[in-house]
Amino acid sequence: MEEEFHNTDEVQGDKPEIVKLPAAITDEEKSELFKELTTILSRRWVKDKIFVFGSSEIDLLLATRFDIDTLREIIEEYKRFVEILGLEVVEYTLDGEMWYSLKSAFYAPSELMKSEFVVLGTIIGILETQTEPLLTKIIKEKLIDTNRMKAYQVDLCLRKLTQQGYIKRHQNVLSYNYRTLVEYGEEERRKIAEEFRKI
Amino acid sequence: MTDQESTDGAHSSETTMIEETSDWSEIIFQTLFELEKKYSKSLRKKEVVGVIESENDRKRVSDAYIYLNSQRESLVDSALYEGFIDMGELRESSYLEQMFLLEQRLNNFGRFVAKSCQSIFFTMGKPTIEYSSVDLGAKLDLIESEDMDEIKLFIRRNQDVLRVFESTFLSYGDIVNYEKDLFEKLLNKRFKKKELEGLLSVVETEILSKMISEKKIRVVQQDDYLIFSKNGDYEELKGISSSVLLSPKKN
Repeated sequence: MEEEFHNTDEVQGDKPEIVKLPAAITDEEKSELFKELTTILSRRWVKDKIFVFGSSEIDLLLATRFDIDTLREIIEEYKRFVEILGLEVVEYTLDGEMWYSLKSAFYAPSELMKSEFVVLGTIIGILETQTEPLLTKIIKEKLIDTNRMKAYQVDLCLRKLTQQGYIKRHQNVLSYNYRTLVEYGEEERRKIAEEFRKI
Repeated sequence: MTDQESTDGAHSSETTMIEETSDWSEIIFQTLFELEKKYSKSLRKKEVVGVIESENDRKRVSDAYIYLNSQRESLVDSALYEGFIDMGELRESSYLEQMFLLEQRLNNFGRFVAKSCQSIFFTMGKPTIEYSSVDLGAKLDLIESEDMDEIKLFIRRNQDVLRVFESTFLSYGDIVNYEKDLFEKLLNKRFKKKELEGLLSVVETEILSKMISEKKIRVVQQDDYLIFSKNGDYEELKGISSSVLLSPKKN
């Protein structure tokens, strides 16, 4: 602990222009802020017809009136706070804006159905192994023409995945949206691609 | 026609019928026998006979019981029916097995994808406050690429995001005065872009831009220098045009 304090002092000595949080905000204010952060970061909104989670950095800045360094610092501290609860603060980019939200540190039940996971897995499997643009028709070929799923089922799944922020559909070309990248790390996506090859 | 005759007639027709029946029963028994062989063989080898083929076979022998006389024939008939039933079961189970395997495989894949997911944590339900993003337009992209100081500055400016920018109104006389000043400052001189930025205010830069577009002053860029002149030959520069972006520093 002592060492840690020393380090903090040194950092403060090196960069005096950075406003250190504990000095500016009392413990009471901080606990109030953390409560509010939990509330806002676990909210789900609808933005441009898709679900988004948490809050954008600019909204947090405007709401708290902090400067960017203080905000980032407080979020760093909040990260350590929620870690105890098995949660992680994730940062993702949406339309060029930085967003913060919470995610489970371990496996947690998702609101997706099994069939939707199959379609998402197929998309990940294909996107991870090929570089050409993934067309909707390729997904349909893989799932419908081989009698694995019904056409309406695949359409329904694609619509739900788009709405949930997992995939983006632009002129029948499918690509990852922010949520796939947040919920599936690079390693997980590689493993899914391997599993996909097996079936 | 006597009774005897009629009896004889009846007898003869009965004989024909019996003959026909025995012919039929022979043919039908033959069919029964062949089908029974076919089905017992398929069942032994676990080869599935298709639904349509099986149904046609069943139709062929559906009325067979009418023509069967001996117990042996009836036994073959019942054996064939047992074959039909067993084949039906085999068919169903094999179809189910195929479906089950594919289903199972997809299920497993779905479960694997679900298990790899570190789901976003959120509270379910519809928020009562509608989401509205701050409409910062293109500025958002601008600060993305700038450095930390720029972001700080932007945030400070952002606090009064609704403030209307002040407009400066110039009278004709003002414009003429500005133009005169600019002629004095710039004409027949050459400047580097940086120098020019230090020399001009925002309003002066606007007026300069206006003068250039109205061809009151001519600017030619040579290496790093911008050379200002008047009444130049515009024909020689026809079709050659370029823009220089100035960020005036003078207040």
